[in-house]
Amino acid sequence: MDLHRLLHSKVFYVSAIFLLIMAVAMPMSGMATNMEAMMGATPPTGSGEDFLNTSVGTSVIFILIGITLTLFVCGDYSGGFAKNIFTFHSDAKDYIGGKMLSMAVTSGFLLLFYTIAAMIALSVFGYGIVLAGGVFCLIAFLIQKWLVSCAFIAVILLVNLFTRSSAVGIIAGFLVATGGLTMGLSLFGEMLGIPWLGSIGRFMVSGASQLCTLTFSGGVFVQVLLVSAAWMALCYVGSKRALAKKDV
Amino acid sequence: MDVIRTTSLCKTYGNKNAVDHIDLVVPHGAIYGFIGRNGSGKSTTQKMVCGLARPTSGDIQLFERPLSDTQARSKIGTLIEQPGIYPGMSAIENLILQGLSVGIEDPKQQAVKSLDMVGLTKFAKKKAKHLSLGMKQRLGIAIAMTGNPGLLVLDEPINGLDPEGIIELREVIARLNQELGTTILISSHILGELSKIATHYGIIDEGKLIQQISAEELATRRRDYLHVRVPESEKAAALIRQRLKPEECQIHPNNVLHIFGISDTGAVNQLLSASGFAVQEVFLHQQDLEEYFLNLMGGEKVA
Repeated sequence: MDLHRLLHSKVFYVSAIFLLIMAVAMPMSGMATNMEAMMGATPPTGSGEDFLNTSVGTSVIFILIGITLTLFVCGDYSGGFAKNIFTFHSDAKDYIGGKMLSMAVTSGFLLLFYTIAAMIALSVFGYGIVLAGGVFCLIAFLIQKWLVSCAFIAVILLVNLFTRSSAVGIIAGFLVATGGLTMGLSLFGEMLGIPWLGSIGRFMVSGASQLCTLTFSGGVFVQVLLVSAAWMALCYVGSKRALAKKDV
Repeated sequence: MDVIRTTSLCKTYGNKNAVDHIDLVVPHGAIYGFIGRNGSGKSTTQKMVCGLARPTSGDIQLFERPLSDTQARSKIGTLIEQPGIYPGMSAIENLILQGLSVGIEDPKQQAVKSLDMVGLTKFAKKKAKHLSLGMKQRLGIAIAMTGNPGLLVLDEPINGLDPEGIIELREVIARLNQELGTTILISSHILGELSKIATHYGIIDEGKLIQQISAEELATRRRDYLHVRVPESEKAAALIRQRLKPEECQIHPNNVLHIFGISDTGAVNQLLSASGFAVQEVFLHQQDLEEYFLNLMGGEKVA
Protein backbone atom coordinates (compact mmCIF):
# COMPACT_ATOMS: atom_id res chain seq x y z
CA MET A 1 0.00 0.00 0.00
CA ASP A 2 2.76 2.44 0.96
CA LEU A 3 4.72 1.75 -2.21
CA HIS A 4 1.58 2.12 -4.30
CA ARG A 5 0.86 5.45 -2.66
CA LEU A 6 4.47 6.54 -3.16
CA LEU A 7 4.44 5.70 -6.85
CA HIS A 8 1.21 7.67 -7.26
CA SER A 9 2.51 10.75 -5.47
CA LYS A 10 4.21 13.81 -6.95
CA VAL A 11 6.85 14.02 -4.23
CA PHE A 12 8.59 10.86 -5.46
CA TYR A 13 8.92 12.13 -9.04
CA VAL A 14 9.85 15.65 -7.92
CA SER A 15 12.64 14.10 -5.81
CA ALA A 16 13.96 12.11 -8.78
CA ILE A 17 13.89 15.18 -11.04
CA PHE A 18 15.61 17.27 -8.38
CA LEU A 19 18.40 14.68 -8.11
CA LEU A 20 18.77 14.57 -11.88
CA ILE A 21 19.09 18.36 -12.04
CA MET A 22 21.66 18.28 -9.24
CA ALA A 23 23.64 15.52 -10.95
CA VAL A 24 23.79 17.60 -14.13
CA ALA A 25 24.27 21.01 -12.53
CA MET A 26 27.22 20.08 -10.30
CA PRO A 27 29.69 19.05 -13.02
CA MET A 28 28.27 21.64 -15.42
CA SER A 29 29.04 24.46 -12.96
CA GLY A 30 32.39 22.95 -12.00
CA MET A 31 31.22 22.54 -8.41
CA ALA A 32 32.02 18.82 -8.51
CA THR A 33 34.32 17.23 -11.06
CA ASN A 34 34.91 13.75 -9.62
CA MET A 35 32.90 10.93 -8.08
CA GLU A 36 33.93 11.72 -4.48
CA ALA A 37 32.60 15.25 -4.75
CA MET A 38 29.53 14.18 -6.69
CA MET A 39 28.61 11.59 -4.06
CA GLY A 40 29.49 13.81 -1.10
CA ALA A 41 32.00 11.13 -0.07
CA THR A 42 34.92 13.34 0.89
CA PRO A 43 36.52 12.02 4.09
CA PRO A 44 35.70 14.15 7.14
CA THR A 45 38.28 16.69 8.20
CA GLY A 46 37.26 16.99 11.85
CA SER A 47 35.70 20.02 13.43
CA GLY A 48 36.41 22.17 10.39
CA GLU A 49 34.06 20.07 8.31
CA ASP A 50 32.68 22.08 5.44
CA PHE A 51 28.93 22.25 6.01
CA LEU A 52 28.28 22.57 2.29
CA ASN A 53 30.24 19.40 1.64
CA THR A 54 27.91 17.44 3.87
CA SER A 55 24.86 19.02 2.30
CA VAL A 56 25.41 17.82 -1.25
CA GLY A 57 25.56 14.43 -2.94
CA THR A 58 23.90 11.60 -1.10
CA SER A 59 22.95 13.85 1.84
CA VAL A 60 20.43 15.51 -0.45
CA ILE A 61 18.83 12.11 -0.94
CA PHE A 62 18.48 11.87 2.84
CA ILE A 63 16.86 15.31 2.96
CA LEU A 64 14.43 14.31 0.20
CA ILE A 65 13.63 11.04 1.96
CA GLY A 66 13.04 12.93 5.20
CA ILE A 67 10.58 15.25 3.44
CA THR A 68 8.81 12.39 1.66
CA LEU A 69 8.46 10.29 4.79
CA THR A 70 7.24 13.25 6.83
CA LEU A 71 4.62 14.16 4.24
CA PHE A 72 3.51 10.53 4.10
CA VAL A 73 3.17 9.96 7.83
CA CYS A 74 1.63 13.34 8.60
CA GLY A 75 -0.68 12.88 5.58
CA ASP A 76 -2.00 9.68 7.13
CA TYR A 77 -3.06 11.62 10.20
CA SER A 78 -4.16 14.94 8.70
CA GLY A 79 -6.44 13.30 6.12
CA GLY A 80 -7.78 10.78 8.61
CA PHE A 81 -6.70 7.72 6.60
CA ALA A 82 -4.73 6.60 9.66
CA LYS A 83 -8.11 5.67 11.20
CA ASN A 84 -8.72 3.18 8.39
CA ILE A 85 -5.20 1.80 8.74
CA PHE A 86 -5.15 1.41 12.50
CA THR A 87 -8.67 0.01 12.72
CA PHE A 88 -7.61 -2.88 10.51
CA HIS A 89 -3.99 -3.29 11.58
CA SER A 90 -3.90 -3.80 15.33
CA ASP A 91 -0.18 -4.57 15.35
CA ALA A 92 1.96 -1.41 15.24
CA LYS A 93 4.73 -3.28 13.49
CA ASP A 94 2.56 -3.50 10.35
CA TYR A 95 2.52 0.29 10.09
CA ILE A 96 6.13 0.89 11.12
CA GLY A 97 7.37 -1.97 8.97
CA GLY A 98 5.34 -0.80 5.97
CA LYS A 99 6.68 2.72 6.18
CA MET A 100 10.29 1.65 6.80
CA LEU A 101 10.27 -0.93 4.03
CA SER A 102 8.73 1.35 1.41
CA MET A 103 11.11 4.17 2.28
CA ALA A 104 14.09 1.80 2.29
CA VAL A 105 13.15 0.72 -1.25
CA THR A 106 12.77 4.38 -2.24
CA SER A 107 16.10 5.25 -0.71
CA GLY A 108 17.81 2.39 -2.55
CA PHE A 109 16.25 3.48 -5.81
CA LEU A 110 17.20 7.14 -5.37
CA LEU A 111 20.79 6.24 -4.41
CA LEU A 112 21.19 4.10 -7.52
CA PHE A 113 19.42 6.63 -9.71
CA TYR A 114 21.62 9.50 -8.51
CA THR A 115 24.82 7.44 -8.82
CA ILE A 116 24.05 6.47 -12.42
CA ALA A 117 23.00 10.05 -13.25
CA ALA A 118 26.23 11.40 -11.68
CA MET A 119 28.38 8.96 -13.67
CA ILE A 120 26.64 9.84 -16.93
CA ALA A 121 26.88 13.58 -16.19
CA LEU A 122 30.64 13.36 -15.41
CA SER A 123 31.20 11.49 -18.67
CA VAL A 124 29.08 13.89 -20.72
CA PHE A 125 30.90 16.95 -19.34
CA GLY A 126 34.25 15.32 -20.07
CA TYR A 127 35.54 14.72 -16.54
CA GLY A 128 35.53 10.94 -16.82
CA ILE A 129 34.65 8.47 -14.09
CA VAL A 130 37.56 7.75 -11.78
CA LEU A 131 36.74 5.35 -8.95
CA ALA A 132 39.52 5.37 -6.36
CA GLY A 133 38.62 1.95 -5.02
CA GLY A 134 37.02 0.49 -8.12
CA VAL A 135 33.47 -0.67 -8.68
CA PHE A 136 33.50 -2.89 -5.57
CA CYS A 137 34.17 0.10 -3.33
CA LEU A 138 31.41 2.09 -5.03
CA ILE A 139 28.96 -0.77 -4.38
CA ALA A 140 30.16 -1.03 -0.76
CA PHE A 141 29.76 2.75 -0.41
CA LEU A 142 26.19 2.56 -1.71
CA ILE A 143 25.36 -0.32 0.63
CA GLN A 144 26.74 1.63 3.59
CA LYS A 145 24.83 4.75 2.58
CA TRP A 146 21.67 2.67 2.18
CA LEU A 147 22.13 1.19 5.66
CA VAL A 148 22.55 4.66 7.10
CA SER A 149 19.49 5.81 5.17
CA CYS A 150 17.47 3.02 6.81
CA ALA A 151 18.58 4.29 10.22
CA PHE A 152 17.75 7.84 9.12
CA ILE A 153 14.27 6.69 8.05
CA ALA A 154 13.74 5.08 11.47
CA VAL A 155 14.76 8.29 13.26
CA ILE A 156 12.49 10.52 11.17
CA LEU A 157 9.61 8.06 11.50
CA LEU A 158 10.00 8.21 15.28
CA VAL A 159 9.98 12.02 15.21
CA ASN A 160 6.91 12.00 12.97
CA LEU A 161 4.99 9.53 15.11
CA PHE A 162 5.71 11.51 18.26
CA THR A 163 5.00 14.97 16.89
CA ARG A 164 2.71 14.35 13.88
CA SER A 165 3.96 17.73 12.66
CA SER A 166 5.20 18.22 9.09
CA ALA A 167 7.32 21.22 10.06
CA VAL A 168 9.09 19.42 12.91
CA GLY A 169 9.63 16.31 10.77
CA ILE A 170 11.15 18.23 7.86
CA ILE A 171 13.40 20.33 10.10
CA ALA A 172 14.53 17.20 11.98
CA GLY A 173 15.22 15.49 8.66
CA PHE A 174 17.32 18.40 7.45
CA LEU A 175 19.31 18.62 10.69
CA VAL A 176 20.03 14.89 10.82
CA ALA A 177 20.77 14.55 7.08
CA THR A 178 23.23 17.44 6.91
CA GLY A 179 24.89 16.65 10.21
CA GLY A 180 23.71 20.00 11.55
CA LEU A 181 22.61 18.32 14.74
CA THR A 182 25.99 16.68 15.46
CA MET A 183 27.85 19.82 14.45
CA GLY A 184 25.72 21.82 16.83
CA LEU A 185 26.41 19.26 19.54
CA SER A 186 30.15 19.47 18.85
CA LEU A 187 30.16 23.28 18.98
CA PHE A 188 28.07 23.20 22.15
CA GLY A 189 30.59 20.78 23.69
CA GLU A 190 33.53 23.02 22.76
CA MET A 191 31.79 26.09 24.20
CA LEU A 192 31.06 24.34 27.49
CA GLY A 193 34.49 22.71 27.65
CA ILE A 194 33.12 19.20 27.11
CA PRO A 195 35.20 18.06 24.12
CA TRP A 196 34.02 14.44 24.26
CA LEU A 197 30.53 15.62 23.35
CA GLY A 198 31.79 16.13 19.78
CA SER A 199 33.18 12.62 19.57
CA ILE A 200 29.77 10.99 20.09
CA GLY A 201 28.86 12.31 16.65
CA ARG A 202 30.44 9.17 15.17
CA PHE A 203 27.65 7.17 16.75
CA MET A 204 24.95 9.41 15.33
CA VAL A 205 23.25 8.74 12.00
CA SER A 206 24.93 11.71 10.29
CA GLY A 207 28.27 10.76 11.83
CA ALA A 208 28.01 7.25 10.42
CA SER A 209 27.03 8.70 7.06
CA GLN A 210 30.16 10.85 6.94
CA LEU A 211 32.35 7.82 7.61
CA CYS A 212 31.38 6.29 4.26
CA THR A 213 33.96 6.90 1.53
CA LEU A 214 34.69 5.49 -1.90
CA THR A 215 37.66 3.54 -0.52
CA PHE A 216 36.39 0.52 1.35
CA SER A 217 37.34 -0.11 4.97
CA GLY A 218 36.10 -3.19 6.80
CA GLY A 219 36.20 -1.39 10.16
CA VAL A 220 34.11 1.50 8.85
CA PHE A 221 31.66 -0.94 7.27
CA VAL A 222 31.15 -2.74 10.58
CA GLN A 223 30.80 0.54 12.45
CA VAL A 224 28.25 1.84 9.95
CA LEU A 225 26.36 -1.45 10.13
CA LEU A 226 26.29 -1.48 13.95
CA VAL A 227 25.39 2.19 14.33
CA SER A 228 22.61 1.85 11.74
CA ALA A 229 21.25 -1.34 13.30
CA ALA A 230 21.33 0.19 16.78
CA TRP A 231 19.44 3.31 15.67
CA MET A 232 16.91 1.25 13.74
CA ALA A 233 16.24 -1.00 16.75
CA LEU A 234 16.03 1.97 19.14
CA CYS A 235 13.71 3.95 16.90
CA TYR A 236 11.55 0.90 16.14
CA VAL A 237 10.93 0.42 19.86
CA GLY A 238 10.31 4.16 20.29
CA SER A 239 7.90 4.23 17.35
CA LYS A 240 5.94 1.30 18.76
CA ARG A 241 5.67 3.14 22.06
CA ALA A 242 4.54 6.32 20.31
CA LEU A 243 1.80 4.44 18.49
CA ALA A 244 0.70 2.65 21.64
CA LYS A 245 0.62 5.83 23.74
CA LYS A 246 -1.10 8.26 21.42
CA ASP A 247 -4.71 7.98 20.29
CA VAL A 248 -5.37 8.22 16.56
CA MET B 1 -22.80 -14.23 19.47
CA ASP B 2 -22.12 -10.66 20.54
CA VAL B 3 -20.05 -8.76 18.00
CA ILE B 4 -19.16 -6.05 20.50
CA ARG B 5 -19.12 -6.49 24.25
CA THR B 6 -17.50 -3.90 26.49
CA THR B 7 -17.10 -4.37 30.20
CA SER B 8 -16.86 -1.33 32.46
CA LEU B 9 -15.21 0.64 29.68
CA CYS B 10 -13.76 3.98 30.76
CA LYS B 11 -11.88 6.80 29.08
CA THR B 12 -10.65 9.75 31.06
CA TYR B 13 -9.22 12.99 29.68
CA GLY B 14 -7.65 14.86 32.59
CA ASN B 15 -10.36 14.96 35.24
CA LYS B 16 -13.22 14.38 32.81
CA ASN B 17 -14.74 10.95 32.37
CA ALA B 18 -15.55 10.98 28.67
CA VAL B 19 -16.74 7.38 28.91
CA ASP B 20 -17.79 6.11 32.28
CA HIS B 21 -18.06 2.37 32.93
CA ILE B 22 -19.95 1.44 29.79
CA ASP B 23 -21.21 -2.11 29.27
CA LEU B 24 -22.17 -2.08 25.62
CA VAL B 25 -23.56 -5.22 23.99
CA VAL B 26 -24.08 -5.33 20.24
CA PRO B 27 -25.51 -8.66 19.08
CA HIS B 28 -24.56 -10.27 15.78
CA GLY B 29 -26.62 -8.97 12.88
CA ALA B 30 -27.87 -5.90 14.74
CA ILE B 31 -28.08 -2.34 13.52
CA TYR B 32 -27.26 -0.66 16.79
CA GLY B 33 -28.27 2.98 17.00
CA PHE B 34 -25.98 4.84 19.39
CA ILE B 35 -27.72 7.98 20.60
CA GLY B 36 -26.56 10.84 22.73
CA ARG B 37 -25.98 14.57 22.89
CA ASN B 38 -22.87 16.22 21.51
CA GLY B 39 -19.94 15.40 23.79
CA SER B 40 -21.79 12.55 25.49
CA GLY B 41 -19.02 10.04 24.64
CA LYS B 42 -20.35 8.37 21.48
CA SER B 43 -17.33 9.01 19.26
CA THR B 44 -14.86 8.18 22.03
CA THR B 45 -16.62 4.86 22.64
CA GLN B 46 -16.63 4.10 18.92
CA LYS B 47 -12.94 5.01 18.66
CA MET B 48 -12.10 2.66 21.52
CA VAL B 49 -14.11 -0.13 19.89
CA CYS B 50 -12.04 0.36 16.72
CA GLY B 51 -8.76 0.42 18.63
CA LEU B 52 -8.13 4.07 17.77
CA ALA B 53 -8.19 5.26 21.38
CA ARG B 54 -6.81 3.45 24.39
CA PRO B 55 -9.33 2.77 27.17
CA THR B 56 -8.30 4.11 30.57
CA SER B 57 -9.80 0.95 32.03
CA GLY B 58 -12.24 -1.79 31.14
CA ASP B 59 -12.34 -4.45 28.50
CA ILE B 60 -13.48 -4.72 24.88
CA GLN B 61 -14.31 -7.97 23.11
CA LEU B 62 -14.93 -8.08 19.37
CA PHE B 63 -16.40 -11.24 17.89
CA GLU B 64 -15.75 -12.80 21.32
CA ARG B 65 -12.02 -12.10 21.00
CA PRO B 66 -9.85 -9.45 22.64
CA LEU B 67 -9.61 -6.09 20.88
CA SER B 68 -5.93 -6.68 20.14
CA ASP B 69 -6.73 -9.84 18.17
CA THR B 70 -5.68 -9.26 14.55
CA GLN B 71 -8.40 -11.54 13.18
CA ALA B 72 -11.14 -9.69 15.02
CA ARG B 73 -9.78 -6.31 13.99
CA SER B 74 -9.56 -7.31 10.36
CA LYS B 75 -13.37 -7.59 10.35
CA ILE B 76 -14.05 -3.91 11.12
CA GLY B 77 -14.80 -1.07 8.77
CA THR B 78 -15.01 2.42 10.16
CA LEU B 79 -16.06 5.97 9.50
CA ILE B 80 -15.47 8.06 12.60
CA GLU B 81 -15.78 11.84 12.86
CA GLN B 82 -14.85 12.62 9.25
CA PRO B 83 -14.10 10.41 6.25
CA GLY B 84 -10.57 9.00 6.37
CA ILE B 85 -9.25 9.95 2.97
CA TYR B 86 -6.11 11.23 1.24
CA PRO B 87 -7.35 14.57 -0.10
CA GLY B 88 -4.69 14.77 -2.81
CA MET B 89 -5.64 11.42 -4.33
CA SER B 90 -8.63 10.58 -6.49
CA ALA B 91 -11.71 8.81 -5.16
CA ILE B 92 -10.77 5.55 -6.85
CA GLU B 93 -7.15 5.76 -5.67
CA ASN B 94 -8.36 6.14 -2.09
CA LEU B 95 -10.44 2.99 -2.46
CA ILE B 96 -7.59 1.08 -4.10
CA LEU B 97 -5.29 2.05 -1.22
CA GLN B 98 -7.82 0.83 1.31
CA GLY B 99 -8.18 -2.38 -0.70
CA LEU B 100 -4.41 -2.87 -0.64
CA SER B 101 -4.33 -2.05 3.07
CA VAL B 102 -6.91 -4.70 3.94
CA GLY B 103 -5.45 -7.16 1.44
CA ILE B 104 -8.36 -7.84 -0.86
CA GLU B 105 -7.94 -9.47 -4.25
CA ASP B 106 -8.16 -7.15 -7.23
CA PRO B 107 -8.60 -3.89 -5.30
CA LYS B 108 -9.22 -1.92 -8.50
CA GLN B 109 -12.25 -3.98 -9.48
CA GLN B 110 -13.58 -3.77 -5.93
CA ALA B 111 -13.03 0.01 -5.94
CA VAL B 112 -15.10 0.36 -9.10
CA LYS B 113 -17.92 -1.67 -7.51
CA SER B 114 -17.78 0.38 -4.30
CA LEU B 115 -17.93 3.66 -6.20
CA ASP B 116 -20.97 2.41 -8.06
CA MET B 117 -22.62 1.36 -4.80
CA VAL B 118 -22.29 4.85 -3.30
CA GLY B 119 -23.09 6.66 -6.55
CA LEU B 120 -19.65 8.13 -7.17
CA THR B 121 -18.77 6.42 -10.45
CA LYS B 122 -18.83 9.72 -12.34
CA PHE B 123 -16.38 11.22 -9.88
CA ALA B 124 -13.95 8.30 -9.70
CA LYS B 125 -10.99 10.28 -10.99
CA LYS B 126 -11.77 13.51 -9.17
CA LYS B 127 -9.41 14.35 -6.33
CA ALA B 128 -11.01 13.72 -2.96
CA LYS B 129 -10.33 17.30 -1.86
CA HIS B 130 -12.48 18.58 -4.72
CA LEU B 131 -15.50 16.44 -3.81
CA SER B 132 -18.43 18.02 -1.98
CA LEU B 133 -18.98 17.28 1.72
CA GLY B 134 -21.69 14.74 0.91
CA MET B 135 -19.52 13.04 -1.72
CA LYS B 136 -16.61 12.82 0.71
CA GLN B 137 -18.99 11.22 3.18
CA ARG B 138 -20.06 8.67 0.57
CA LEU B 139 -16.43 7.97 -0.26
CA GLY B 140 -15.71 7.47 3.45
CA ILE B 141 -18.58 4.98 3.63
CA ALA B 142 -17.28 3.12 0.56
CA ILE B 143 -13.83 2.95 2.18
CA ALA B 144 -15.35 1.64 5.40
CA MET B 145 -17.16 -1.08 3.48
CA THR B 146 -14.09 -2.22 1.53
CA GLY B 147 -13.45 -5.90 2.14
CA ASN B 148 -17.02 -6.54 3.33
CA PRO B 149 -16.30 -6.16 7.05
CA GLY B 150 -18.38 -8.10 9.55
CA LEU B 151 -18.75 -4.98 11.69
CA LEU B 152 -19.24 -1.43 10.47
CA VAL B 153 -18.70 1.41 12.93
CA LEU B 154 -20.26 4.59 11.57
CA ASP B 155 -20.16 7.89 13.39
CA GLU B 156 -22.67 10.39 12.04
CA PRO B 157 -22.52 8.98 8.50
CA ILE B 158 -25.59 10.96 7.43
CA ASN B 159 -23.90 14.33 8.07
CA GLY B 160 -23.57 16.33 4.90
CA LEU B 161 -25.72 14.04 2.78
CA ASP B 162 -28.60 15.42 0.73
CA PRO B 163 -32.08 13.86 1.19
CA GLU B 164 -31.47 11.51 -1.74
CA GLY B 165 -28.10 10.51 -0.29
CA ILE B 166 -29.69 9.84 3.10
CA ILE B 167 -32.24 7.48 1.54
CA GLU B 168 -29.51 5.74 -0.50
CA LEU B 169 -27.31 5.32 2.55
CA ARG B 170 -30.21 3.93 4.55
CA GLU B 171 -30.83 1.41 1.79
CA VAL B 172 -27.15 0.48 1.57
CA ILE B 173 -26.96 -0.06 5.33
CA ALA B 174 -30.14 -2.14 5.32
CA ARG B 175 -28.87 -4.20 2.37
CA LEU B 176 -25.49 -4.83 4.01
CA ASN B 177 -27.23 -5.89 7.17
CA GLN B 178 -29.84 -8.12 5.55
CA GLU B 179 -27.87 -9.64 2.68
CA LEU B 180 -24.38 -9.91 4.15
CA GLY B 181 -25.28 -10.07 7.81
CA THR B 182 -23.05 -7.09 8.61
CA THR B 183 -23.44 -5.83 12.15
CA ILE B 184 -23.59 -2.05 12.29
CA LEU B 185 -22.89 0.32 15.16
CA ILE B 186 -24.17 3.70 14.01
CA SER B 187 -24.47 7.00 15.77
CA SER B 188 -26.64 9.77 14.43
CA HIS B 189 -28.48 12.85 15.59
CA ILE B 190 -31.13 12.31 12.93
CA LEU B 191 -33.21 10.01 15.09
CA GLY B 192 -36.06 9.73 12.60
CA GLU B 193 -33.70 8.14 10.10
CA LEU B 194 -32.12 5.93 12.71
CA SER B 195 -35.49 4.61 13.84
CA LYS B 196 -36.19 3.39 10.30
CA ILE B 197 -33.30 0.91 10.35
CA ALA B 198 -32.10 0.30 13.90
CA THR B 199 -32.83 -3.00 15.61
CA HIS B 200 -31.23 -1.99 18.90
CA TYR B 201 -30.51 1.26 20.68
CA GLY B 202 -27.99 2.47 23.22
CA ILE B 203 -28.56 5.84 24.83
CA ILE B 204 -25.53 7.55 26.33
CA ASP B 205 -25.44 10.67 28.46
CA GLU B 206 -22.37 12.28 30.03
CA GLY B 207 -20.32 9.18 29.34
CA LYS B 208 -22.81 6.78 30.94
CA LEU B 209 -24.91 4.28 29.02
CA ILE B 210 -28.31 5.04 30.50
CA GLN B 211 -30.37 2.63 28.44
CA GLN B 212 -29.82 -0.23 26.04
CA ILE B 213 -32.92 -1.69 24.41
CA SER B 214 -34.09 -3.48 21.31
CA ALA B 215 -36.47 -1.86 18.84
CA GLU B 216 -39.22 -4.27 20.00
CA GLU B 217 -38.75 -3.25 23.64
CA LEU B 218 -38.78 0.38 22.62
CA ALA B 219 -42.10 -0.14 20.85
CA THR B 220 -43.62 -1.53 24.05
CA ARG B 221 -42.14 1.22 26.21
CA ARG B 222 -43.26 4.05 23.99
CA ARG B 223 -45.95 6.13 25.64
CA ASP B 224 -48.53 6.74 22.94
CA TYR B 225 -51.39 9.08 23.92
CA LEU B 226 -54.61 10.58 22.69
CA HIS B 227 -54.29 14.22 21.79
CA VAL B 228 -57.55 16.10 22.44
CA ARG B 229 -58.21 19.79 21.90
CA VAL B 230 -61.37 20.88 23.67
CA PRO B 231 -62.56 24.15 25.32
CA GLU B 232 -62.89 24.01 29.11
CA SER B 233 -60.16 21.39 29.11
CA GLU B 234 -59.98 21.12 32.91
CA LYS B 235 -63.63 20.12 33.16
CA ALA B 236 -63.22 17.74 30.22
CA ALA B 237 -60.17 16.18 31.90
CA ALA B 238 -62.11 15.63 35.11
CA LEU B 239 -64.90 13.92 33.17
CA ILE B 240 -62.46 11.66 31.31
CA ARG B 241 -60.66 10.71 34.52
CA GLN B 242 -64.00 9.85 36.18
CA ARG B 243 -65.58 7.91 33.32
CA LEU B 244 -62.74 6.36 31.30
CA LYS B 245 -60.14 5.85 34.07
CA PRO B 246 -57.03 6.54 31.91
CA GLU B 247 -53.48 5.89 33.19
CA GLU B 248 -52.88 9.60 33.11
CA CYS B 249 -54.56 12.70 31.78
CA GLN B 250 -52.32 15.75 31.35
CA ILE B 251 -53.64 19.26 30.83
CA HIS B 252 -51.52 21.35 28.45
CA PRO B 253 -51.83 24.99 27.33
CA ASN B 254 -54.17 25.93 24.46
CA ASN B 255 -56.94 23.59 25.68
CA VAL B 256 -54.94 20.46 24.89
CA LEU B 257 -55.24 17.19 26.79
CA HIS B 258 -52.85 14.23 26.57
CA ILE B 259 -54.61 11.04 27.63
CA PHE B 260 -52.40 8.01 28.29
CA GLY B 261 -53.61 4.43 28.40
CA ILE B 262 -56.53 4.88 26.03
CA SER B 263 -56.32 4.57 22.26
CA ASP B 264 -60.02 4.64 21.30
CA THR B 265 -60.59 8.09 19.80
CA GLY B 266 -64.30 7.31 19.18
CA ALA B 267 -65.03 6.61 22.84
CA VAL B 268 -63.43 9.87 23.97
CA ASN B 269 -65.15 11.87 21.25
CA GLN B 270 -68.54 10.33 22.04
CA LEU B 271 -68.18 10.93 25.79
CA LEU B 272 -67.19 14.57 25.41
CA SER B 273 -69.77 15.35 22.72
CA ALA B 274 -72.58 13.72 24.73
CA SER B 275 -71.57 15.87 27.73
CA GLY B 276 -71.79 19.06 25.70
CA PHE B 277 -68.10 19.64 24.95
CA ALA B 278 -67.27 20.89 21.42
CA VAL B 279 -64.30 18.69 20.53
CA GLN B 280 -61.94 20.46 18.09
CA GLU B 281 -59.27 17.77 17.66
CA VAL B 282 -58.81 14.18 18.67
CA PHE B 283 -56.15 11.80 17.38
CA LEU B 284 -53.76 9.09 18.53
CA HIS B 285 -50.20 10.39 18.89
CA GLN B 286 -47.51 7.73 18.58
CA GLN B 287 -44.33 8.63 20.41
CA ASP B 288 -41.30 8.46 18.14
CA LEU B 289 -37.64 7.80 18.98
CA GLU B 290 -36.89 11.51 19.20
CA GLU B 291 -39.58 12.11 21.81
CA TYR B 292 -38.59 8.98 23.69
CA PHE B 293 -34.99 10.19 23.76
CA LEU B 294 -36.00 13.70 24.84
CA ASN B 295 -38.19 12.33 27.61
CA LEU B 296 -35.34 10.16 28.82
CA MET B 297 -32.98 13.12 28.76
CA GLY B 298 -35.39 15.23 30.76
CA GLY B 299 -37.22 16.95 27.93
CA GLU B 300 -34.42 19.21 26.70
CA LYS B 301 -34.34 19.60 22.91
CA VAL B 302 -30.69 18.93 22.34
CA ALA B 303 -30.52 15.61 20.53
